[in-house]
Amino acid sequence: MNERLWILISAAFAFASTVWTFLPHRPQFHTRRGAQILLGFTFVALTLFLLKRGEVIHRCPLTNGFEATAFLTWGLIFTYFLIGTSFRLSILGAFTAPLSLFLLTLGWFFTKDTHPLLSEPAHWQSEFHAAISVLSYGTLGLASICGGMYLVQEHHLKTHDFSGWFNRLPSMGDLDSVLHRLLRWGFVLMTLGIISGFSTGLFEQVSKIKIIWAWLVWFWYLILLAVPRLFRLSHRRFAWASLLGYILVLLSFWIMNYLLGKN
Amino acid sequence: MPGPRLVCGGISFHEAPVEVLEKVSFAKENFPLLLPQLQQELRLDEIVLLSTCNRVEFFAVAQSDAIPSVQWPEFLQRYHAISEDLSSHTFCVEGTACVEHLFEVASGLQSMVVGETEIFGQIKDAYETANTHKTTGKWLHKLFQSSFNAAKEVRSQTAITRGSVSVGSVSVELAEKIFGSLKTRKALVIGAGDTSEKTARALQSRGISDLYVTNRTLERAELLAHELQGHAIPWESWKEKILEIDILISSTTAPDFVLHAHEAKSLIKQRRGKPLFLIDLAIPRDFDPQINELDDLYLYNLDDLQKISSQHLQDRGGEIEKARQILRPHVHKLIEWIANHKKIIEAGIPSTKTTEHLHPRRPQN
Repeated sequence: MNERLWILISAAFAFASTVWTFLPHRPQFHTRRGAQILLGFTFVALTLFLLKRGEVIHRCPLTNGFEATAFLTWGLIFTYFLIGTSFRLSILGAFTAPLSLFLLTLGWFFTKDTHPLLSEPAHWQSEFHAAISVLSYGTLGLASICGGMYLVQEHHLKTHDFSGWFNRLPSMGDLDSVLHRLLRWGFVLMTLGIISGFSTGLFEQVSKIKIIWAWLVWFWYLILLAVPRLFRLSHRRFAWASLLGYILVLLSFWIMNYLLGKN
Repeated sequence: MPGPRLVCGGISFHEAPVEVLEKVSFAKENFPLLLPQLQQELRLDEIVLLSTCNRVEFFAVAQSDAIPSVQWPEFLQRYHAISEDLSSHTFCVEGTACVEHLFEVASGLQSMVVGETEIFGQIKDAYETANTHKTTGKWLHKLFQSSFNAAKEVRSQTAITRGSVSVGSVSVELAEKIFGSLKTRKALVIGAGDTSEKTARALQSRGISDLYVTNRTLERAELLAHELQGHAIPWESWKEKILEIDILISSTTAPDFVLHAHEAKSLIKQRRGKPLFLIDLAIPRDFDPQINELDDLYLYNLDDLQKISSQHLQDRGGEIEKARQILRPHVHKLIEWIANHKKIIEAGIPSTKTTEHLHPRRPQN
């Protein structure tokens, strides 16, 4: 079976999980459990894709935008299962599923060929660097989902509208606390990814644009974490910054890889 | 051997005004003598007696010659020395109707505030008290255990208990949606009104760490602070206190706002973005409505809170039919269990339809 088929299967499960979550009038428990199981299948299918792809290219499947997006989605769902359980925030899955579907769809636009961009044989430093970086983006992605949930809940409380998601979402206090923790963890992982990038010795072969982009993203999150400590920043603005910031990171990542892939 | 004749009867807020309910309620300390007395006078084999602010009801297995629909109001009149005829205020049903009634009461469908869960605990207490005094047997054990299971399923499968229905509990619910746990939160009460006191108590029941009270008259503030185990602060310094509190409750009689939007704006800057929940229970308003437009400030006035509580009540009412559908198989299961034990009286257990014309059921709300 072509390994790409696993991507289609995982996208189908992510779609099913999204639809399941938003089905009206289902008892809350079944909604969460059903959506979680479907998201679990998405994760399994993605894992199988990454394993198969790894076997084909004999290295960690992070050699092009298509693989990187699949890995990023895998990292996002992995972090969800890790964090959602630890912080009792299974509701995060309701937002993780549509974002995963979006990323998988986005990734499909990249070239899917298996020619690695790097000519050097794989060595553990570069694999570690790539894997930890992608995990950091997964964590930051989950943080942005928390930011989005915070904004939805904040909107309900400000407008005194208690329909829709009000009862299903956790308190703003809890969401804010998880958002900060995820941002801190994501930032630590990203820093580790950048530091480990120095040890690969492959700077010459990596596009300068990618390096500058990575530094800009790192700097953005540094500012985001530092600003509330130095200046007054409302929780709402902070949540917006984490959400919009991540969307910008994703879009720029996608555009950059798309353009570099074309050249 | 004859089977059980399940009977229940009572008097509740549906049929009787509060003045009558007050007269007919039973004190728990009288139950040791009361239960055997009821058993004897109403000719009952088993009995559980439930006495709350809103209802006084019995659930029993009656002997074949008992006429509880007549004996129950007479007993109430005699026991409480009431001259007024209570028969028009009481109800009595048998068989399936009795099972349905208990299941609905335990699920909160028959409560004044539909879906309230306190009744579940009260029924459990009544059942345990009857157990202690050995007035229960095989049939009531099964009836009550089944009612607890049915009520639990209704609670978990419907939204009947969702949403608070009093100003105090709505405030607590909102506070928890804003802050999460209230254990480390601090509240300030401005003015010593009755509603603000109730709201403060509701917040205290969720474990807020500190409560401050202020009033134009310091003595009144001190009195309320003492009652609430909080701290009184002088009227002149309450605005400074905003910097450290999380919840601000106000119910003064001031003709103008006690907190304007521009003041709140400067205070929130000093709070460095820490959210503040403002509860305005005063008429006319104490807080400028524009405050709600500022970031990290959440303002709710009395109208807002009352609207939320009415909406919740309406939503709960909409779940009643769904809850009844959940109860139906539980009722059938119990009836089948009784049948399987071959204890059914000759012609079987009368259905709701056949008993209703004999003992009219009280109106459903």
